[in-house]
Amino acid sequence: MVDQSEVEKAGIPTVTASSDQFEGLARNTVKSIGLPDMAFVIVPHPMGMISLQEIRAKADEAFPKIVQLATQWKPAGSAVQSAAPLYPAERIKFKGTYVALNKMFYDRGWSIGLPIIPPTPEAVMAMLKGTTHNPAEVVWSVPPRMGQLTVELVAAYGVMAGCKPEHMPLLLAVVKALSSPDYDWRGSTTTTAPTNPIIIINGPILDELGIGYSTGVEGGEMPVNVAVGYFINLVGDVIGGSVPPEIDKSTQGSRGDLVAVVVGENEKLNPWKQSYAVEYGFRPTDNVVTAFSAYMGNNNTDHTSVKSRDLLNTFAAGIAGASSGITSCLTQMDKGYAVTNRVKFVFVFFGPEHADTIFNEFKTKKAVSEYLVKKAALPFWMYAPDLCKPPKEFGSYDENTLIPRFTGPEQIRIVVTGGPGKQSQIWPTFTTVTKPVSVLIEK
Amino acid sequence: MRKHHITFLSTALIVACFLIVSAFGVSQDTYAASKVQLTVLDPRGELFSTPAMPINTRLKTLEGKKIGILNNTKPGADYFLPYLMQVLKESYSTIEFKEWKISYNEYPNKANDLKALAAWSDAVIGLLGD
Repeated sequence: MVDQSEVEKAGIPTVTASSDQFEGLARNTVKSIGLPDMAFVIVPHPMGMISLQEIRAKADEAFPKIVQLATQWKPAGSAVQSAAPLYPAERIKFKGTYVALNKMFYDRGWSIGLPIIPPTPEAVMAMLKGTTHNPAEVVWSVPPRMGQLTVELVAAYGVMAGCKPEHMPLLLAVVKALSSPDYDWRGSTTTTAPTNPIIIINGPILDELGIGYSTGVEGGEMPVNVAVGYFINLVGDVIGGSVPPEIDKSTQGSRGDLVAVVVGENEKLNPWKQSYAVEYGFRPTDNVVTAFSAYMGNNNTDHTSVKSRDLLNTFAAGIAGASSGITSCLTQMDKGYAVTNRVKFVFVFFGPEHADTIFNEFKTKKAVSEYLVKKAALPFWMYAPDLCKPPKEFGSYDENTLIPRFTGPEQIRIVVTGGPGKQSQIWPTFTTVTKPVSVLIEK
Repeated sequence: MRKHHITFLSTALIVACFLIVSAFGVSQDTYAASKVQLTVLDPRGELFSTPAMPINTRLKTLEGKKIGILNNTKPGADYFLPYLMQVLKESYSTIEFKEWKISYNEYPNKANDLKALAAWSDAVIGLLGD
């Protein structure tokens, strides 16, 4: 709809055939971008992966309405949205039990169903002491609802999620990363895919704030990690409006849509010594947040391989098969999103023991990535139709030819995290993400 | 049963009833004591204030018009749109089509592609959904 709206703004009338399951999202989107009267023809879902006969029947049914909307139709006209002061946020008086308070928040769409800590003015003021930013500053128009996230509301959501004033710089850096066009928050939170916000934290801030990076890093009992992960989804669902089923279309949802995945890198046990942030241009003393949207991850539980290559081969299997069905072959990091360039990077979260085994032979992370780029391949027949179209330079191939998913080492990103045990994870990026976003955390 | 046994049992029953009623009363008091009175912020945030823009005037007819087709590259688009064009052509023999395949987050040419689509077309048909 964003694309059609650009065409309308260019002075050209448009008609959009929309799947009925996406009508709510479509109308919400056009309202948020100031074109509430755009013309829609609603077509029964789905429009893809059905027989040609069914597609034609749907097109036949839509045809008269398309013609009508293209030629005769005049919308009734919508009211102009009125401006309202952003700061300070409205105050609501409440009297009752905490159970009733939580119910009120959920019923009003102010929470996602988990208990919250009430954002009282006193608690929010205390949170704001953690930053020098002006509370009235707008740091993000959160898609798709385009709610205005002020610094005051960052503090409010921080309170609700259980964050502390000293977490404010981290929260503001997280917001900055998620709001980058490269992350594609709108696409990630309105897709049918099970996306998870992934946050990686580097730097001295890990120990300063007690951010988890060892055993159980993605689980509970990590108060800071969990609070930040909860904060992210409160922002996304409440102020961003990404609520199922109307707006958040995720077919099955994901756990990261409840509490986002927030990990610290285990810099102390990283055998390559170079942290992810340093690898990508930051100083060891910098505190850095890296964010990307990911499909569901999978894990590597290789307890058998003793040699580095044997272990990396099992990782290659996991990388090749990650987010199956949506992946293209021979993807390139510097090329934009296209049908033949989907899911163009993965992150590998090596547990320290796996990292140590790999380090025995592969002394740099780049060497690891280069090996995996060659090995992470699928036979042609395993790629979904139209997603794998090797160029002429690749040479001849048949359905059994192994064709790599990636072409460059920068597409396989490495982070060491977690505690003892032979466990690692593979997180493939959501298909429209341009690149991971790394942001310096302000002091 | 001897009289003093009956008296004892009656007294025990009365005491038991009293204790039960008292316990219920204490629960109510505890429940009442957990009520709070406080002020909270509405966290929803005001909506981005965009003036509502009227959409463009519709064409009087499709005959002789140039219709841009915005293919969002989702599954089904490559079947739905060609058939739609075929059906439209059967009704409007002088209609002309040109298709642009533009993925949602295509980079870096998307803005230019959309401009080209708008520049060529008298009207545009697009798709939304999977």
